[in-house]
Amino acid sequence: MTRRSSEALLRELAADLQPVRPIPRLRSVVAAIALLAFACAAALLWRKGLRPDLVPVVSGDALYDSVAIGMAAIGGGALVAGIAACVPGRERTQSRAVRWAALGAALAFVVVPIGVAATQRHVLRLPDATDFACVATGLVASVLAAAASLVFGWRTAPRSLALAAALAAAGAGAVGAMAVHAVCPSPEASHWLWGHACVPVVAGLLAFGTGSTLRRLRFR
Amino acid sequence: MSAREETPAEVQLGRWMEAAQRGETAAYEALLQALLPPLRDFARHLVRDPNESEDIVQSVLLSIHRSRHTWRSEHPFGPWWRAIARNAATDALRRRARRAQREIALDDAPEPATPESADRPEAAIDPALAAAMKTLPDAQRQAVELVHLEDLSMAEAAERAGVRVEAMKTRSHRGIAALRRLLGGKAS
Repeated sequence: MTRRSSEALLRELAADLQPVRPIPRLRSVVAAIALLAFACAAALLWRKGLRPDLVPVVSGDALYDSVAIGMAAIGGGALVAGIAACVPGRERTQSRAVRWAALGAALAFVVVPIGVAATQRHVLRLPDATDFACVATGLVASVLAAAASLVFGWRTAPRSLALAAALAAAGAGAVGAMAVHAVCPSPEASHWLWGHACVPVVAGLLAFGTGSTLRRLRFR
Repeated sequence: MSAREETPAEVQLGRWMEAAQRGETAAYEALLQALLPPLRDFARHLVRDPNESEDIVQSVLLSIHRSRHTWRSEHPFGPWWRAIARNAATDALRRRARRAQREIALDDAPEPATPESADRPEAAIDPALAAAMKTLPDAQRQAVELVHLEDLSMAEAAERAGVRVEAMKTRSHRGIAALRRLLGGKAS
């Protein structure tokens, strides 16, 4: 193989230069994708309506609130982290946002099972078909925002498109999960965990696979 | 980090990058020339072999070229290019580690194509390599032929194939990696 000098490469790159339009500001991108996620969540709320006992359950069940707050933290944190992962030099923003998302995940997946075990008001069980139905609804509610973040990641070519897409999709999925959480009438903590809190996890995994595939296709 | 923390040199780099984003070649060349010494220092800290450190420098230059639209002028330039350098260097080191695990003496196998076989480069090379090349996707096979058998520069190969330089570099790299896998499997 012929080895070229870096100076020669540098001249080739300069000769290859085309004007480019800088990407939009990070906060504008986050705001636009969050707006899209909330619009889809609002559409779900409008179509299905809030659960009839929303006020009593919010004021009377800390586990229900824990899932909701956990989803909110995952939604904000993971979305910001995913978009920041697409922009070099924004690692500090990304790691701060990941911490928020991790706190949210801990609240949903650690505090809720502990709460179930401690209070004896709920029973923890394995996932079933009703859980999958809510996960599917949450995914549908978040697919547009996840796709928009994937388009942004495609344009910016981050170091790991799969990871950036997974984080952003988990954020979008968490917004969808919040809508499902407000709509679904289930009184079971297990269902909140498997059917609602798992939406961002599944969205993130699906986006990770999509991001990996797209990256492979891009450079084939 | 605020813009006030930037050194005058980084402010100048940022000005050149702004001009480069508008398509000003001279500013871009000045920017890359200015980045070359710190990039070489950075790469030499990572690997001792001068050839490998130069490979890292070139990977970083390509990454900067590919990502130049992700910098915005209201942000400091230093953290942006250093993040790209870190990421590209990490990727290059990972590739190097993977390559070291399944290295075969590929440099011994293909000779540059003779003029008689220039239109069919695989005719002048080892039959096993030619057979392996036939299994590559068209884009990768073309990249390997242009860059490694016809000995064209990345820019020339990219122009011939009608793609951008970074795409050619990636296709060529993946093609070689696939050949290593295929030929390494046969050897074992």
